[in-house]
Amino acid sequence: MSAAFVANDRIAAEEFAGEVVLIDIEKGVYFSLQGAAGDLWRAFAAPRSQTAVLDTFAAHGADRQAIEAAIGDLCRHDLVRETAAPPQADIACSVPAGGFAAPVVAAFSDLAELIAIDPVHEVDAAAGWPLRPANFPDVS
Amino acid sequence: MSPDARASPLDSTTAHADSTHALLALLDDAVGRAEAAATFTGRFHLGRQACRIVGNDAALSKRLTLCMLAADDASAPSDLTLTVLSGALAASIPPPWNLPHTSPRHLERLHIDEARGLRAFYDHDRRFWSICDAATRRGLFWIADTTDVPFWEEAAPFKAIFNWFLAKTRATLLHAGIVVHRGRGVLLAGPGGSGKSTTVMAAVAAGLGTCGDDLVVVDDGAGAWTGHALYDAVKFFPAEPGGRVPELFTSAAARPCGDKSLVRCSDVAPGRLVQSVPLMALMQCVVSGQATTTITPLAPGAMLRSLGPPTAFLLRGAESETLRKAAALVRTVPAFTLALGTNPAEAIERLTVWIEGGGR
Repeated sequence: MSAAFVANDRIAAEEFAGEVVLIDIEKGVYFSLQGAAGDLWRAFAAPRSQTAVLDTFAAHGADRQAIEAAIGDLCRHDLVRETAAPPQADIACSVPAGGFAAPVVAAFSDLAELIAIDPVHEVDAAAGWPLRPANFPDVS
Repeated sequence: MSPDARASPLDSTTAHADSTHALLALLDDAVGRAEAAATFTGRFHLGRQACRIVGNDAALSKRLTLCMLAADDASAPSDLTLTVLSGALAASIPPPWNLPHTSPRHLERLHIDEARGLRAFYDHDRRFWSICDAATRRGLFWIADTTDVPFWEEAAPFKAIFNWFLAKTRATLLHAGIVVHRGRGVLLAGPGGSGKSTTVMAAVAAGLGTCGDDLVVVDDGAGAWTGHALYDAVKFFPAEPGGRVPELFTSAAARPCGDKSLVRCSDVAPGRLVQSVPLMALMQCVVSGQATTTITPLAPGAMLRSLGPPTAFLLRGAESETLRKAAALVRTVPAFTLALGTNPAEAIERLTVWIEGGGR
């Protein structure tokens, strides 16, 4: 059985017809999912087997390689992550009229600068403020 | 709490709740100190709601409320009571952040207790707390030294606290401006440099109204989306070339605000700051570089990308609520791209004709 994946619950998301807008607050990055990528996001609302999702989308006419690449993009951006939870068998996959459009996962980091320049992020992730990471460069 | 306190996963929930209780005790302490030595009270508009501000330092409170909209009836009930406490006068220095690390948001010195409705932020460099307890409708701005008040806090005071408070209502703050003409509002979104403030200033100079150029309140409380002014402030680069800032603003007595100049709209154009207006359109501002301004339909998703993330990243701590309400707004009110030409006055002429034509 292939690994199960589920949508990252710390990602804020809103859906429109044809587009899902997501925000990763901690990284300062936001995303636009269009075409079948939005359908994938909905499919991973609950734990699903990657293979089962691929099979389902391919059975409904989607390009298997494109779907696999899009799942890879979702994982790479930490929008979807592997889970130990047992995958649900049914796949929330309704085929749009005209079939699946090519999946598009677009990441926008133009606002990440707001987060990156904030010194509060230069802290020890385990201990929190005001302790700096052990490997933090001495700038004094 | 000790600076080196650690929480294991097993007790992190309890430790997080303990931090909430410690912050509530801090809030109680600060409110008590301010009430005992209050030298300032005022009541201000907060969208459809009102905020009572009590401070122990009249000079600081006046400075921080200079750009807020005073409510007519100062003695009427308020929805939020905000305490402004200075350590300078009453020897009340706020304690520093030393909460055990029980949340990823603690990396931002941001404590969120969703169940209790408490949010708190500590600025380590400027030594001030911003706290909002939605359950008791109380807020706190407590700064050690008034000379450390950041310049942006004068143009948009208490925005974190207001954002957290409004997160529990039908309203939200948005990083946007609003232009008003004949009782209808057009909300302008876009990142810095996209022309929001320039368009708002040109609109005011042309006799139109505004609810602000940078941060506004919107809500759907009366069956239709309405924009509200929160701050009576317009910021601009004083040395911007090409006459893009109307003389109305450049000739006014401005206060320095970082690299920008700050003027109150009510000082330069009395009556043009509009408290509330129904929204007829949302516009994503872009600088086209062309001679003329154009207005074209925009997909809702693209509009949300222009409105939601910039607001969420600017106003931390209620991001999901901000995105949800911005999405509801975008689903209801039509969205357009306002491709601004090189002449702001021409852009206002185009926008005025568009509004008078009912959005055509």
